[in-house]
Amino acid sequence: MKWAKMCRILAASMVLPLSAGCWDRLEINDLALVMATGLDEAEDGQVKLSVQIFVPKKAGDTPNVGGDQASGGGGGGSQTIVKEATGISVADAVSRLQTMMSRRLTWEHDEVFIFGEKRAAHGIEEDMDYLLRSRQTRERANLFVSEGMAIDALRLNPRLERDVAETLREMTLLQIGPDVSLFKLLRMMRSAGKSAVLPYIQKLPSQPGVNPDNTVSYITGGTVLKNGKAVGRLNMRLTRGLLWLHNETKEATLTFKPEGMPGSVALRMLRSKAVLVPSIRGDRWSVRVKVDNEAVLLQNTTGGIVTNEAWVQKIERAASQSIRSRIEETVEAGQRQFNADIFGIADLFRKHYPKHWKEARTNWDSVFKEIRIEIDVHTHVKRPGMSNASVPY
Amino acid sequence: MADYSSSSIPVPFDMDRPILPDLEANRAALNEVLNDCADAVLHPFATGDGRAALLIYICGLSDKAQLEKMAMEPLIRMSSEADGSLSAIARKLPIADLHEATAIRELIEGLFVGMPCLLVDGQACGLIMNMADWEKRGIDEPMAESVVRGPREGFGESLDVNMSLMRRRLRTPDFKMKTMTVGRLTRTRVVVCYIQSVAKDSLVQEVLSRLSRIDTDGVLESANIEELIQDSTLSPFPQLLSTERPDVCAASLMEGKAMLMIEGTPFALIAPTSLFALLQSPEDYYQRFMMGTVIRWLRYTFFLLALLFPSLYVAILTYHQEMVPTTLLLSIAKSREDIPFPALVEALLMEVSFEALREAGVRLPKQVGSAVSIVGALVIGQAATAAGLVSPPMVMVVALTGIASFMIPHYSVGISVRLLRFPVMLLAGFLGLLGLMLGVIALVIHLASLRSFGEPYLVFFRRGARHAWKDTLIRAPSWALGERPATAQKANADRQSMRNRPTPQKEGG
Repeated sequence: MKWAKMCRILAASMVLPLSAGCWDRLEINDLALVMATGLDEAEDGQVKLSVQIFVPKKAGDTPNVGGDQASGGGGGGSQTIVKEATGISVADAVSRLQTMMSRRLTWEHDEVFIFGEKRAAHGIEEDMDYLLRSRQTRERANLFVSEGMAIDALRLNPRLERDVAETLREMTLLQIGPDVSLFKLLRMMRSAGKSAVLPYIQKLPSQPGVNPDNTVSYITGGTVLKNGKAVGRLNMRLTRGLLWLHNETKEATLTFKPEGMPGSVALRMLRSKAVLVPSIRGDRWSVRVKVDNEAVLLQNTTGGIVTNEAWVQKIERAASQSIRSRIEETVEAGQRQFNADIFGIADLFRKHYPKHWKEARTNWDSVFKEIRIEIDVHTHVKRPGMSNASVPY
Repeated sequence: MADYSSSSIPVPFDMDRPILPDLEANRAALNEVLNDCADAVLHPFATGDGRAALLIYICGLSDKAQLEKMAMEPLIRMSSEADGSLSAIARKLPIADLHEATAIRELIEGLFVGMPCLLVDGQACGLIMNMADWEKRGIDEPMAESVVRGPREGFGESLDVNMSLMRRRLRTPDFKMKTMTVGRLTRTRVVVCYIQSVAKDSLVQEVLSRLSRIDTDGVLESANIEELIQDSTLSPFPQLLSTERPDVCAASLMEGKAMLMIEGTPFALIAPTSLFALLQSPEDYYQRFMMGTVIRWLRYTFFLLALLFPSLYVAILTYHQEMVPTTLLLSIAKSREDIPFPALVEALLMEVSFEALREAGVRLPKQVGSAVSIVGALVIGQAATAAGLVSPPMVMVVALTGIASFMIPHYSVGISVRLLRFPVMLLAGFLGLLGLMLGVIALVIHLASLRSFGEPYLVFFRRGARHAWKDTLIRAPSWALGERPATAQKANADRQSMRNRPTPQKEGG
């Protein structure tokens, strides 16, 4: 009796795996891994979605070069292909793109999103809605604005790194330009100032005699976004000034010519910290920016003796002055040129002076223009480097 | 009707018949019992005073030379004036262990454990002389549990030698050994060992009562006993620790555990035991404690790895690709591109062939065994990937899992883990990490409900086991292991002086 019962249970449990329907496993062989995504403006306000897909062929296998824009060859490393589709929204374009693919597109490993210049000018808020809503996209993926079309940036075939995505991601890690992830952009766009800066990338001219696609895009500045639309560009110098305010300078090398001395001095920043303190006195709104730097001497062509206290102090003052003027230029650009609060000043006032902020928020743009920004830079040269005297010349 | 109860030899013969004064009648009775027992020798001879005598022994179970010298010679030379009663003869024989028997049963039972019997005409009893001695394997190094530092002695098949090995380690009358006989046909001697002042009385009683309930025809190995006395009969985990190391047994006894030695096998059983005890090696205590601690954690890690690694790989690769670092995923994708099977099938294929290889290697003669491993390594490592059946990462996963399962010091736990790997793998293949966690949860629930002779299997989580961490999470230095585990009697929980830690003597102090 007991035996019969056990047999019945066993038979029933053997049916179980079959009765559950389809097996929802997804093998890697069934995936099209998107490594980088480009979003461009198409006709009639449509969006052109382009994706760079990893081709899982072992190195040495001949890549399938016909038809698609196979960008393999040259390097002989890993291969990627670029595919594109146009739709009225990103979601629409994604579903159209999927119909052209034999494998399921997956964005789980996409760490780079590039907006074309025109798309950025048109506004990226609609696209952001998809990117933040989709469960496949990484919130830590980096965002860029590219010169011209984003799809052209994807088609490049860098020789040093695996692909465009890896190149751009590694570049942001070096903190050359602003490091903006999906999540960070969302925070900036939702902040009181509604402004943000995305890294702006340009194609590095390829060397003569080399396949023109064998080059990289690199960060050459920033794109200022206001209310989700690109309103202008910051050049590299202004972008660095902004990084100084955002405490994002890690690998900064500052080269300047001290007044009244021959030659130049180069400093490498060890630590740099900016504190923004808002204040309202009567009708005057102002922000005091205190920047503290610690630096190490990198190159000295002034002939000064690094062990000389007076000389070091002179250098420190000159460095501070140089940094100050950079930041001032950036502030000038933000306040006057773009009238975009890319510094996050609105948030400061919202936190410290909530009542004043409530009154001012409706005409924040005009208030922001008039805010006085005082910059106070202090630099301390901590180490003279490996030698104390300069090479005589 | 024949009596088949465990306490009798199943021979259709009245075993309780007394020994008669008439030697011929006794001889006829013995001939009837020992009919067709080619190794039984009934040797008639005459004593010095002219009486007929009969020496009965089993060939190969007793020392024949000693028998002739110590028993027969004095009897043949006996003068006719001497007292002819058997008890008087017994006093004059130069034999250390002998007693009188009055029933045929006693005589027969003695005969088969190597005790020759002497019958003299006119005496209604027999003289049983313990001269058991037979060919046995010497004391060897334990094959399955080797250590770098530590005693090299292992148990053998002979119970008496094993008992002496234990007694040599515990030279105190407090160390008790109780003998029982189990098995209708094998009549195997089983010795229950414990330290009276340390082991709980309830434990000893429980062991004895479980043993006495066994009614089976044969006990050939400790596993036969283990299966008949364990708490949970359907669990994949061993609930008794089997070992062939006397030092492990002695250490366990001093923790208040009981031990069973079974005749004919070098494996002793220790009860109760816990999962942690099964994951320990004696070497943990013989090397420095820091190393012992680190090795223990390495072992815990690899225990989990042996159980879960292939499942983890399958689950992540078929359901959670976003969890793999991008660069790793790309290289896996490259190597998996031409593999025709789903990751689950690939894993099952490799794991099954690995298990087959292991089994073949264990079972085959040593000379062939190495050939198997060479061929196997080629099949698994090289050919399978070259043929595009499995991907190189999977080979690595299987190899690492194999190493992990060999890291478990007790083979019995190792095979449970190997077995459990497969259901968990199936769960992971069908439900991803969710399935894997379900498997782990089910396993933990099962382990938590397991008991070994009443003691929880996960002893660390036992109430009242305050000091258990010292011997599970770490291997505390010897001077810090002051308390016996909760398995021992509370009254005798102190293992050693608290001042055992060597410290420099203070001046003037």
